[in-house]
Amino acid sequence: MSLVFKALSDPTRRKVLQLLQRGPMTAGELADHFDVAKPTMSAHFAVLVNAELIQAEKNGRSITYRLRMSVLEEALLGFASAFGLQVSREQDAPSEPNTQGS
Amino acid sequence: MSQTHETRVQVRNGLVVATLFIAFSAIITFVVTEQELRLRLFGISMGIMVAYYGNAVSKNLTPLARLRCDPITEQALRRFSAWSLTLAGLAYVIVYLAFPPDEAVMIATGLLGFAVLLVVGRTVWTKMTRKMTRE
Repeated sequence: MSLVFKALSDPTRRKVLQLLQRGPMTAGELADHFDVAKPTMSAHFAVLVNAELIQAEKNGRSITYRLRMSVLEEALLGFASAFGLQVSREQDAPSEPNTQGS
Repeated sequence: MSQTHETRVQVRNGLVVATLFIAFSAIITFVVTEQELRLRLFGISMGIMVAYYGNAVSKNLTPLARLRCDPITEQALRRFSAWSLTLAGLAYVIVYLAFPPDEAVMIATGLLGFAVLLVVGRTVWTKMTRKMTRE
C-alpha cells in the first residue's frame, strides 16, 4: 500500500493515471502530454508499474500502458487530485519497467 | 513479479478471503443467538463481500483486455462494473446497519439488483451503439 501512496503522491504520475482512465496509451502518447525528459517519464512509469497501478505491454518497439487500478485506488487518486497532495520529490531511480509480451 | 507468482498470490488471497467469509458465517450461525443481530450480521457480511469483489474486478480482470475487443470500451465497461458493484456493496452494508432487518432485505436486494441491471444495461447499450456505428 505504501507503494500506491508513493505513486499517487506525484502530480505527474496522477495525470498519467487520469490519461489512462480514457484508455490504453503508448509511452510516446503519454509523454507528449508532459514537458519532461523521456528518462524522467520512464522513471514515473516504473513507479506506477511497481505499485501495480498500470500494466505495461511491449508491442514491437513501443510499450503500451493500460490502467490496472481497483475502485479503492481510483478513489484515492480522486482524493489526492482534489486536495493536490504532494510530497517532496524523491530520487526515483530511472529504470525500464517490467513489460509483458502481448 | 512473474505471471506465475502473481497468479499464485491472487489464488492464495482469494482462498484466504473466502475462508474468512465462511468462518465469519459459521460464527454468526453458531455463536450469535439473537435472530435480528444474526440477520444484520449476515447482511453486512454479504455487503462487504460484494464490495470487496467489486473493488477487485477492475484490477484483476485486466487479462480480459487481451481478448479481441476494443480496449477503450472494455476498460470503460470494466471500471463501470467495478464501481457499480462496490458502491452497491457499501450501500448494502449501510442499509443493514440503518434499517430493521425485514425492511433491509428488500431495500438492500433492490439496490444490488439495480446495480446489476445498470451493468447489464450499460453492456447492452454499448454493444448496440457499436453495432449501429459499424452499419
